[in-house]
Formats: sequence, structure tokens, C-alpha cells
Amino acid sequence: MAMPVVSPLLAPARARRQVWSLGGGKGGIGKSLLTASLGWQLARMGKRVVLVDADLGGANLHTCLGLAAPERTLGDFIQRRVERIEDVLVETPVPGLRLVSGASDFLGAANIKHPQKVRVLNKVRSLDVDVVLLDLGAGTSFNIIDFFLVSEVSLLTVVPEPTSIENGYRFIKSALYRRLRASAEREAVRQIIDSALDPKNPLGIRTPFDLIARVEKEDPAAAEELKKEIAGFKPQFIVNQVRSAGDVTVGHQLVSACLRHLGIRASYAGYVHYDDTVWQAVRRRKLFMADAPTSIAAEEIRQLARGLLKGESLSLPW
Amino acid sequence: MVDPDSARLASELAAHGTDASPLEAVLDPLPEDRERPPRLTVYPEPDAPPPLARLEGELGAEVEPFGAEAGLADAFGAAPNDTLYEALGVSPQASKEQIEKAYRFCLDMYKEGALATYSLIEAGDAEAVRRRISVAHETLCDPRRRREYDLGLGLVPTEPTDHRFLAGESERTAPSPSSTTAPLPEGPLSGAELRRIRESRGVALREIAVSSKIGLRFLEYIEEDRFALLPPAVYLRGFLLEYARALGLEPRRAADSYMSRLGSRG
Repeated sequence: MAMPVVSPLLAPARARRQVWSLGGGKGGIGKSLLTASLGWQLARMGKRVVLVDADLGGANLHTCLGLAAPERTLGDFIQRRVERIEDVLVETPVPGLRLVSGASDFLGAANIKHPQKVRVLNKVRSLDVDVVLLDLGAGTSFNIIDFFLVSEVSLLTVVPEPTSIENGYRFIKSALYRRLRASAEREAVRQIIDSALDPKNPLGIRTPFDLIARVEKEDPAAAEELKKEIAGFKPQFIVNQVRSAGDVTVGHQLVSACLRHLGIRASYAGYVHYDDTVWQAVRRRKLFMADAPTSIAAEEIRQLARGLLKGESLSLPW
Repeated sequence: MVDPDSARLASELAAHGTDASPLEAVLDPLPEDRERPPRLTVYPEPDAPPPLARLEGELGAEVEPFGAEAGLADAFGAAPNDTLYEALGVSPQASKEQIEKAYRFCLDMYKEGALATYSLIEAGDAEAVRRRISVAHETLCDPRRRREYDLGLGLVPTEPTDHRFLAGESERTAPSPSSTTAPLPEGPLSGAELRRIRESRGVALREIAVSSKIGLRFLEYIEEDRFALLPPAVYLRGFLLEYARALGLEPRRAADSYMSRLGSRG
């Protein structure tokens, strides 16, 4: 019954499990609600879904779902109080939807070490489900960016406010440079990339275009590799809390700007209107998808889920 | 504009030895991936990397003056070699209606206080982009001026009834990561070399002329190295980029290589 998910955005080998992650840099813009509602919808569509609250130190997924704070959390797995991630999976009222709750009680959770991060990701990626949805939380730390980069579907959430847009670009540039640095084999190239992270770097590198040009002088083959890495980086924007047609257009403009100024081939997954029913449901400790299924937000989440499963995105109308 | 997060990231990268290792490298292969060869990865040295070498600050990016068009000699936001079509994000075959829509879209994107480009580009660059968009709109929406512009670029002017639908964004401003990009031969590229590559791929010159809208004679001049008959460098480079793309060569390198033989011309 669970059909393999095929998307033109993915490498052909991956016909089964997909990891989707939601980042965005800014806090409080609705990533947890988006994660919860997308997960809910996918499960209702017959997918086997695991939600992972990777917002270490700020876990909210259980609250968005209207669940009490689970006893077993990601923190237990990280601290090795349990060995298998399956042991911290929590059932939800929705068949097919399970949760790995964040370690909200673990003070050091926001600073997990690299080997712990690797262990979490390995286990998450090996879960026998159709979709794993990672709520990455706010910020641009390595933990968040690395989770974002190893996902099949990397969703960058913004709201139509300058603070969020600013954080979004910061996030996307950080992710790109991290990806480039990880792919660079030579120390000399890595140093150029490191230098590029500082906007006042002595090389005058302001954009990824400048970076490629600079690396090309040092090592043309390495520059080709970097170009391929950039081409392979395909974040998808979700514009949340839309209130006007202009807000919807912001998504298209972000895609265009990313291409023109960063050389990044982003796409526009979709948008969700600001909807009072959403926060009202949260106040009542319910998920709006179940509580207000005819709301605009719920309809748009359904469209978003369908589009993401098909690997389709919004394109400019001309 | 100071970006404390970027500076912090830079110092984190310098300090965090093993934390900077690529995740893909250390993750277990998925069951379905086990037959595939492992991805080549590199682990950083355990010690902190040496301080960044002080390299001379030469930008190295090409900035060719467009001179002829409204005296715009400054760089404008995106890749400096934009044609007016690329500035609007449309193809040379775009209809007037598409150009109008693209113009309004771009204007909205780069206006003062625009949301979508906030923090991405500086005020001076946005201003330059706005000027360029304006010039593009005025030129391309006037049939006579558009025709002249097209001829100047060596394009076959678009017929008024041509309303082919075009996919949104031009890809010119991004690096061209074609998976079929072929390596270039060693040394500066000659016209004869280009012709040899073209013929070995079974591509007729006429095909390139039709798909790129570059006049056939210009393509012949390129292959024949008839430098005296080639257009000024800024247009020639555009032709070479198109020509290279049509053959699956890496466009910028091919164009640079050919043009390096022209010396101080143009």
C-alpha cells in the first residue's frame, strides 16, 4: 500500500526512505508546526512517517501534535540510556505517524558532539519507514546544517519578514560553503573557502561566483568540482505565514535571487497562509490538521505534501 | 556589512578539528547503497589548520565594459557579462508580454526595501541592477530598438508573432554544471580546433546558428579565426559561450581560451 516515493530531484537509487529536513535560520516561524502537519498529512496519505525533533534544547514537536512530553526522548538515545533509536519512538494517535521527541530536558543537548551526531543520523537514516521528517530548529550551527545537507529533501522555511529573509540567506550560504568545504580535497582550496566565509576577506570574495573564479586560478579541476557541488545543492523554499499575493511572489523571487547572486538552484516548494485557526489549535493543544481540516492552512499543507512527494515545485507563471 | 555569524563560522571552522569532517563520509552506507562505490572523502587534520595565507586581493572576476549601452560601465549585481535578456531573466525569444512580466517581477525584486533581496546584495548593487533592468525594458519593449540590439548581438531578430513559451529563468548567470561537459584540449583554443570538436560531435554549424540565433557568418568567422571580421569582445564572448554550450564544452573556459588569442583587440 505504501508506494515507493519517486522524485526527479533524487538520485535514482533511492526509491524507499527519504529524509526531509526543515531548517531556516530564524526561530518562531513555524518550522515545528510545518513538520508536524506535513508528517500528519503524509501519514494520512498512507506513508510510514517518523518525525524527529532535532531542535535539541528547544523541542516542540510533541506540543504541536497535542501530545504530552514523552518519557523516552532523543536525549535517552544520545546518552545511551537506550541503544536502539526504535526504543525512543513514540506512537501518536495517527496510524503510521511516530515521533522521536527532542531532548528538551537535556541541557547539553544543543551541543552534541560530532560522533553523537553521526550516530543519530545513522540510526535515523536506517529506520524502516517511508519518510523521516527532521525539525532542525533555529540557527546555523554545524549540527543543523549537516542534517540539512544529508537530507534528500532540504526545506528552508521563511516568513515574509526581513529578519527571516536575512536568516534564510545566512543559512543557505552557510550550508553551501559547508558543503563546498567538505567536498574540497586540497588544503589550499579549503583555505580559500574558509576565507570566503568572512565578508571582509582579503581575496575580495563576495559571492560563490567570486569564490569559483578565485579557486579556478588556483586549481581549475577543483573549481569544476565545486561547480558540481553547487549544482547539486537544491534547497527548497517554503514561505510560511503568507498574507498577500506579494508574499507568495517572495518565494519566486528568492529562487531567482539565489540563482542570480549565489548560483544556487533553489526551488519553491510552496506556501502556507497565515491562519488564525493554526495558533488557536495550538492553544488548545491540538494539531490544526485534525482540528480544522477545512482551514486554508490545512488545504495548503495537503498541497505541499502532494507536491513534495511528486518532486514538483512552483514555477513562475510566464 | 559585518556578519558576525559568518565570522564566527570562520573561526569555528578553524578551531573544530574533527567536527569539520564531512558527515556523508562517516555515515554508514544505506543498505541500498552498499553496492555503490564509496564517495571519496577527506578527513581534516587533527590539528587546527595553519593561519590563512595572506594572498594578494585580486578579484579576478571578469568585468567587461558594456560601453555601448547607455554608458553602463559599472558592475551590476550578477555576472558582469549579462545581456539585456539575462538581466531580465528571459530568453532572447521572449515575447513582449513575457518581457513586461519579467520586468515587473525584477523591479519588484530589486526595489528599495524589497524583501526578497534583503541582506543579499548591497544598496549600490541593487541600484545598478535597477538601472540595468530599466535599460533592458526600454530597449526590448521598443521593436525597433530590440531589433537593433538583436542584430548587434548577432541574433536573428525575433518575429513579432513568435510566442513560444519559455521556461522561467535564464541559466546564464549561474556556473554551467552540465553533466555532459567535455574537457577542453590543452592550450589556447583555435577556430580550427572548435570546428574539429564540432564535427566530431556531428553538429552542423547551421544547427548552432538556429538554436543560438547567432548569425551563421559569425560562427564561420570564429571557426576560421577571421579576427578582423569578429564583433567586439563583449559580443564575441557571448557567441563563444553559446557555441561552447552547443558542443557541451565548459563555456567560460572555452570562451576565455579562444579570446586569449586575440591579444589586446576589443
